[in-house]
Amino acid sequence: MTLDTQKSLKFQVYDEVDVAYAALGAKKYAQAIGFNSPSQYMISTAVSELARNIYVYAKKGTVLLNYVDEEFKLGMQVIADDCGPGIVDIEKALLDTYSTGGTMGVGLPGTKRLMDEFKIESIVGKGTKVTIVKWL
Amino acid sequence: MTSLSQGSLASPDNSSNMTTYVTSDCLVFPVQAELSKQAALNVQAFILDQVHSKSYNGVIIDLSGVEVIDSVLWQVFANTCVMINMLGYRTVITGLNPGVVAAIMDINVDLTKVITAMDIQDALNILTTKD
Repeated sequence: MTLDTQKSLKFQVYDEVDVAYAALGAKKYAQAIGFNSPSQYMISTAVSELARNIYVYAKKGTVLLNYVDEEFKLGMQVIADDCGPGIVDIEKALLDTYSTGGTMGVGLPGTKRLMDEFKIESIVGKGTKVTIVKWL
Repeated sequence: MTSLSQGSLASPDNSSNMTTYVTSDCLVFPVQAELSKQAALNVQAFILDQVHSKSYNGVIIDLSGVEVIDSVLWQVFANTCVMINMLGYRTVITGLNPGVVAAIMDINVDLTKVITAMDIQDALNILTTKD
């Protein structure tokens, strides 16, 4: 594994295939950091959900993978950032089975369950930023 | 830096690289690469077309080559199973690994419509046993 985890890794999401690239990239990054196999899949699935949200709702955005080294804690942070329409009702968006995009509405709440930390900031008309962390 | 952008991704429009084989009168469809939603829908159409053209004991979709399955992809495959069932065949999904299973459990998608098996041999046992 030649992936340098000290560096962040950025994925542009413009197209549907970029969703899969970001998810695969996240899996490799998680593997390089030292996550076990189930955690790698959880992280990559979470990234896939976030990248898909970017593609479906905002059309384009970025997914940034970071290695976080806090006191006594190591982990992986993912920031999914877009300049899309934003989320009108964040509390509703975090409910299971709520969706405005014609999907099942399990993406955001599922992502929250898959990761250890979940933060969402969204301004209507400006964009959405989701920050998730999984600790090693 | 590894060439992350060069991962194995299925071409969304190319159905010529989709291969199936038949064993014990069951149609086996191995999915060998990461899929976009569109590619998964193409796979769905391809399988339905194959199933419709000839008679089989059942259908096996082998997902062992797929690394990441999120809610949307899972839904496409679950729908595919339901559709094949509506055409009159039983479908078994094989090759899910523990990581994928752990992840789709957490997303809270509907898991009741899908029969899964460890590997193709197990799936053949399920499909060839009359219940």
